[in-house]
Amino acid sequence: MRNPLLRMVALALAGSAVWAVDPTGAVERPEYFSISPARRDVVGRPAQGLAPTMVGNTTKETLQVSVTPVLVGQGMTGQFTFSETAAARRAAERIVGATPARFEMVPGSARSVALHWNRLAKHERTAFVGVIFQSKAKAKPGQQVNTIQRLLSVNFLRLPGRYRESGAFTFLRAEQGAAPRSPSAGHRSLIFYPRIRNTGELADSPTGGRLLIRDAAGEVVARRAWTGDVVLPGYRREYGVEVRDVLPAGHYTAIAETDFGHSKRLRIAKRFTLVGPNRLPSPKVAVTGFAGEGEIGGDAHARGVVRSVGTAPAGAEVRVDLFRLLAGGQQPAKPMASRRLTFSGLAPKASKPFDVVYHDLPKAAYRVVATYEESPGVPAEEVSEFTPHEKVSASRKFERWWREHRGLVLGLVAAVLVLALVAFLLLRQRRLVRRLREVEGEAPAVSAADGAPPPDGPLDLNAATREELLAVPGLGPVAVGRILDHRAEHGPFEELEDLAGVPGFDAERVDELRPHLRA
Amino acid sequence: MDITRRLVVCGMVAAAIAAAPSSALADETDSQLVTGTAENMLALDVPSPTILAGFLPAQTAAASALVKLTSTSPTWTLSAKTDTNGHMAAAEEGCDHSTRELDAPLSLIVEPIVADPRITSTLRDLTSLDQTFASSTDMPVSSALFHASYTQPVRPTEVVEAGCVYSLTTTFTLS
Repeated sequence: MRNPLLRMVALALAGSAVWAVDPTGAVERPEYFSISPARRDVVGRPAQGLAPTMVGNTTKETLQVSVTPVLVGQGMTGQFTFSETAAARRAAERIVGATPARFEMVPGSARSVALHWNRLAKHERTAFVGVIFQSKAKAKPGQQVNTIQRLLSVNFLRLPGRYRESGAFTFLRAEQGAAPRSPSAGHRSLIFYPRIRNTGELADSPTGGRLLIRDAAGEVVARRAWTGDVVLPGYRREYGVEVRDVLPAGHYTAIAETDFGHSKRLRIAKRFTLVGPNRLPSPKVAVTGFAGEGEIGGDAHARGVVRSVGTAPAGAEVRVDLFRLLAGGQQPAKPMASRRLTFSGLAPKASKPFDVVYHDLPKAAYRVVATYEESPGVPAEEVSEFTPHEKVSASRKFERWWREHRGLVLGLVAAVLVLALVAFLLLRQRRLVRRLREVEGEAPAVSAADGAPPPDGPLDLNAATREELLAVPGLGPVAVGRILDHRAEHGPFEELEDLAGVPGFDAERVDELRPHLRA
Repeated sequence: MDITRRLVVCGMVAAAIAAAPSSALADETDSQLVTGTAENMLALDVPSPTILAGFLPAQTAAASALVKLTSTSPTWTLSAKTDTNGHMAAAEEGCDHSTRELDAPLSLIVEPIVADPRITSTLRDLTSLDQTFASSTDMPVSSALFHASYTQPVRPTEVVEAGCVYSLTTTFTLS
């Protein structure tokens, strides 16, 4: 470059490039504990060595590193899980060995760890083995949280050959996405989770996945492509597919499709409802009217009502803690009583009351706390303080009871009095009737059961004299006079029932006289 | 320059011209494809120790640490557990009159410094079981920075002597 001006411009540009990398002039180097590779997919036959793992320490600490093989499983979100029991570790170490198992790494160092595939479990053609690389720095004093770091590498090992690679959808669910950072940023998204079960023999992934949302008329209103990472054989895994399109309230159908291994065009559909723009029905509960009260030495109550205030059926677990407050109103660390109440299947707007009873509370100040989740993952609590009142005397109890139940008692008493009056009047009427009969017959009517029939048979009503009739039980002079008057006026009685036509007689009285008279 | 030197220089120039590759002279081009495949890698940096501030009765002690995380796989999970079911314990020495073990468990949230909807963060109490604190199913990360925020409530009735050291060990697992 002959031109000095051009040379200066070039130098300035180079200088600015260096500043852009790092204003201090030093190349920034990330500080961490690392492993590579973190995943291996190996087809081979044991015994054989695997590609070694490079372990790096670019932190400023000297790290104590341990290497432990484990058998891996998988959770629903895809995270790899492992058991740390001694038996599980021994089982893993029989399949994969690591050398060295323990070492120290100074800052800025790297080290290779050899992994060896020893064998497979009997009758197995595959193995899914993780290796934990754990690092620990020396602890330092202070109110502190010391940390141990672990990195899990996962190894999919299998013998050469043909394998079944298949999967199936088992579920599809919708979930409300995270709230936007500001209300003006729009609506919450919807996240759909197709769930796949790996029914094959190899760790496999869904490919070419797509999600369609159809409205009630069958029109496609949203469409998303999706893919995902591996799911181990025999495990199920959900894949989140976020839909940001804003869908109005209404009824929809979500359809997920994918290929999985040799299983082509898997499909699952799920109907769902939105109660607002991109708003799924959500369960929510509230505890209302929560209050404590009681009496010293007697029963105390913590009462409240669990209400379903969301747009979907809800359940709740309410923990009711009773604290005896310390001097100054401070709450002790542990409750003196704790009760757990479970509510399930509460339809929107439904409610259920609860009443937790405590016995024999001594004189003190108390606090009851109801702890629950108002919606999944959102804790809530209701607090009420109370001091049990003095135990009430029997007379005071009666006064209170009388005050509360006076209307009912007076009503009952009035009803009883009315009933008694009616009964009295009925009895009195009956007594008067009997008296009237006695007056009429000058002798009480005798029932057939009372008077024995005459030994020579019933008396002939048409032939009997006045004296004979007067000897008949139940007939007095007035009645006999009426019988004789009737016989004189109308002639002989054709049958005994005709006697009912005589004043003072009726069918009942005739029946009573039947054992003694005949026509 | 004498005749001999002139001859040598001319000879060298002639030899150089003769030795020039014919392809260069023929104006032909060729290209070589250079490729590199990223190896899968996991890396984690959680500073240790993290010192809690405000460690007093009736207060909530808190601390934040910068966590660095790398995963070349889009599916990753950062889980954590403790050895004491989440309860900080007093040291053997200098804590004669102090509460041996705090009642409230230590809680933790691990959030990315630059929020991303593809990363899920959850606030939880630490326990002796491994629980997921941050995860993604569709986002590889490279030296991504996260805040690990601890909170430790100290009950009003708990006695903490000046100088008494409470500690706990958290095990982070990146998979």
